Amino acid sequence: MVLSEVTKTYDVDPPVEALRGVDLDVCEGERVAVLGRSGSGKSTLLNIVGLLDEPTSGTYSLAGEDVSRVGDRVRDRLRATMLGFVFQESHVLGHRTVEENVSLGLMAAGLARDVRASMVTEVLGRVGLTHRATTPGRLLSGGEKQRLAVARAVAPSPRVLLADEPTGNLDDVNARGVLDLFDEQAARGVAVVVITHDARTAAWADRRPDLVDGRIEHRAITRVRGSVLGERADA
Amino acid sequence: MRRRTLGRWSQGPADLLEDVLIELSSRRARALMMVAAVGLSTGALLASVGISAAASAQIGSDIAASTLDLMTVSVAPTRDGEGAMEERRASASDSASPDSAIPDSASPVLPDDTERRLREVDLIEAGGRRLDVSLVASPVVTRLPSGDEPGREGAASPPDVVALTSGYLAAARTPGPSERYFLLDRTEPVVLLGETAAGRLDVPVTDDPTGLQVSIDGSPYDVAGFLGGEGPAALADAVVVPYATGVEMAGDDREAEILIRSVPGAGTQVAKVAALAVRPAAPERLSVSPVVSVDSLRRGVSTQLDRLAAWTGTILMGLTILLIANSMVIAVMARTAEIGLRRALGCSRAQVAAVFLTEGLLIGLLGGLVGAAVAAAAVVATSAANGWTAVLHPGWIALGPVIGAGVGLIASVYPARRAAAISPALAVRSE
Repeated sequence: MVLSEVTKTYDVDPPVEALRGVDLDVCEGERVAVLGRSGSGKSTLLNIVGLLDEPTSGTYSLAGEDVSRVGDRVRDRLRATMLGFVFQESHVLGHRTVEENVSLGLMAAGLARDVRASMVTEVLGRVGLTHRATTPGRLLSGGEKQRLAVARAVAPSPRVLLADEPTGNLDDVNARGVLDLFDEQAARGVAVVVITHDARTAAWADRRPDLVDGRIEHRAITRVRGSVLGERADA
Repeated sequence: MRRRTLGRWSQGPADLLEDVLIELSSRRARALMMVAAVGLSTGALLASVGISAAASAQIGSDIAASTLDLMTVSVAPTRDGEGAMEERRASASDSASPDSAIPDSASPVLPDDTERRLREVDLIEAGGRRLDVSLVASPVVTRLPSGDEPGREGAASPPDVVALTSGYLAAARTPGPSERYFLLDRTEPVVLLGETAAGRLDVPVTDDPTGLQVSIDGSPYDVAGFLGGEGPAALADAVVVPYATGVEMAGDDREAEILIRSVPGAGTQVAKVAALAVRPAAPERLSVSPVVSVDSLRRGVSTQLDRLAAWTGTILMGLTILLIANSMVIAVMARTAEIGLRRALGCSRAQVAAVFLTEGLLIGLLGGLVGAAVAAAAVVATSAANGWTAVLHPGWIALGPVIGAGVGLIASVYPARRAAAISPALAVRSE
């Protein structure tokens, strides 16, 4: 996953420059925590990396393919097959069961019902929610909801896992549980990019690029895994 | 007295209005749909009352047109033995001529200038006298041979002989050679034949009856034309002779009656004055009764009721579409986060739209099924309560789910488009 000179300007009055030339490389299995204050452009960066939004300029390559200007159909397909999302509020659909919540992402990927069923069973086992498979989402605890969100994100076996404040509302035990699940994904070669204010998550990451006013300010120093790391600091 | 305040937060009416307008304009589509829904529901109520009133008036008008526009005036029955003389005496006093005031056995019950008197009433379109000769005499009618043709025997069951004035045929709107109807107001020996009567007399029905003759009680009569059987006159099986000729055959006109057609809608007024116009000195001697055309009455009422139901139904259908659409737009707004999640998980805009279209379709389909069942039950219950015969068309009942599905689908198009247009980047951040 490579971002090069990515900018994003919102066409409002006056125009808002959310990103001002961001360079960021993330390798397979790498754990990256993007830090930054509110309004620094973290969410915009996550939207662009997650193909929910387009950069105004610059390029974004995913698995070697330039996806900066691809059409909606390709973006939809890439989100369904290569990207997984975990949101701060977990976005668990309370009226659906745990199984149905996980199955939602697999449906979007166009998988058959029996394939979906086996994948759901497998992923729920991995996040420890097998016993809650038929429980409506609204009855889960905060930690369970976030584990369910992770399960839903990783069920289609994405190459990149994107998380927005995944531990912000969790206690230490549950936060640790979610990070363990992320570790598991990273161990499988999934690139994990987390946007966070949470010191626990920052400490967990291999790298911590800091976004300040739409620019990455300084180079991260931690190298835990042996990948080629490093973002080109542009400040 | 201490003045009550609303505390620090208070708005004047202008501020309040501006505040509300900002909110409404920010959700313009929803506001417009709500306005339209209220407009339609109010309109449906007022329109159903209005349409009902209009239909009712039209039905009333149809009934009036079918009944009161056409009426007969006949001699009112009197005590035995006194009727004829009394009628003649009264008739003579109605006449303009002082001489005719003297009772005379030859005086007709209905004045000779009856048609003229009727024409003087503005609201009367046409009117004329009729005397069924066969009721009081038994004239023998046969066909006379033309040229070398041998004569024919009289029919086994001879047709009726009816005496008319031209005004009667005009009032009855009987189809036939109307340019020759004036002959009925004279005394030449001519007849008009009903088509059935012509068949029974073996007289060929033709546009040019020249040379065709029939015999009534041995006297020859030229056939002047043929009459259709339609209309209230029922002349298909009649041999129509001039009114004066018929009175001669019958001996008097005690069984005569008058047919009057008023201008549309004026039947009631005409009914009140008809007897007075004909017999100003003794209007009570005549009785007026409407001629009911049941078929046209039934058709008219049925058509008006169908239109009433169709218009009310159409307005209600529009209202339903708006209500469903409005409700679904609210659902789309409430489900923004879910829509964002679906898009983040890889659902396309089309897939998101399909969710709402399918919801609308299913809601409509189920609603249509329920509606069909409710309609059937309502028809049966209403009919039972009123002692009517329930009329259920299976086709219409089966159409319920189809109409419902169509309504649901149409109603969900806008919400679905709106859902599909939601930016996933913004949607995933909404609560």
